[in-house]
Amino acid sequence: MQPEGFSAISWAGGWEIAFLGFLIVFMGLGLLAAAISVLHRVLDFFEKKEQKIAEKKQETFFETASQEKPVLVLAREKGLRESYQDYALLSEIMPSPLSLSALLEAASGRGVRRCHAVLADLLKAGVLKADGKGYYLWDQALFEALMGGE
Amino acid sequence: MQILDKSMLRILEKTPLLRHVSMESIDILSSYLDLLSLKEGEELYSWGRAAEALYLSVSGDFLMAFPDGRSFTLHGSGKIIGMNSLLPGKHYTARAIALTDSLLMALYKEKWFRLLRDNPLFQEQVERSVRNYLKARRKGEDSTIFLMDSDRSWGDD
Repeated sequence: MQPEGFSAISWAGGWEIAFLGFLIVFMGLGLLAAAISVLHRVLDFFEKKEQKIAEKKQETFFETASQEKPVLVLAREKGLRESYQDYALLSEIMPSPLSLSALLEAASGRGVRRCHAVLADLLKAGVLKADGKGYYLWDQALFEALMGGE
Repeated sequence: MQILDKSMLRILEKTPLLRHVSMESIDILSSYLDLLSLKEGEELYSWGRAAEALYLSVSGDFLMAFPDGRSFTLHGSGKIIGMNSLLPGKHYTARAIALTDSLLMALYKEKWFRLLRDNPLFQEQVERSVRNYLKARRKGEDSTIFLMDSDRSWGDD
């Protein structure tokens, strides 16, 4: 005679099988929950990696002021040397750190020749350096070196 | 329709603002852009003016000056100017001046909205890209744009 009810379950090893099934299902769910909880970190990691690669590519592509050679291009042009000297003088008179817009306005007001292009040249050569707060510092030593010891 | 040359398309392709935008969408975008050249010393826009266009530099040097005396400069290609134009009802918070002869690609607001309306796929891609770009700006990942004219820390919008 075959056992019936709970005895039959026990006889056929049903409790162990049920427990094993329970364990497998809950372990699976646990692993799934853990994977979902860290999914955003994995995605962030790949996104950042992608961004870094794109930024590296960009760095090599875009022209930046820092990559350019420290040279005052327009200083070689006839009559423009004086414009650079005017800026040097203004940088001495004006309060430091310099407001670039005020410096440009002062240069324009004094009739400095090609004041916009000369300002761009000074910036690209690094004579005028950003202080990181929206103002600029004049590097007199570099200016003199670039102007040929003046 | 404005025809852009290959180097200009390359600038669009590489700009951080369009990082998540497909090449097909960039092609579509290029047909909505206008070219604008500025002479040395010419003003692009002034603070307080309604932000009507977004600019992307092709060449040249620019001074972005704020009313409180602070400023920053942008040099060369691929620089974004006038981000406020992407937001409705905004004004420029800086004055943009070309320091040297410059060339820009301009996306005027009405064209921008038409582009988004006509191209839902582009809208999805570009919105994601703009969101990421603004997020990166807030984190200060791009050192050249911490003083951008739409930065709220600079006060008057």
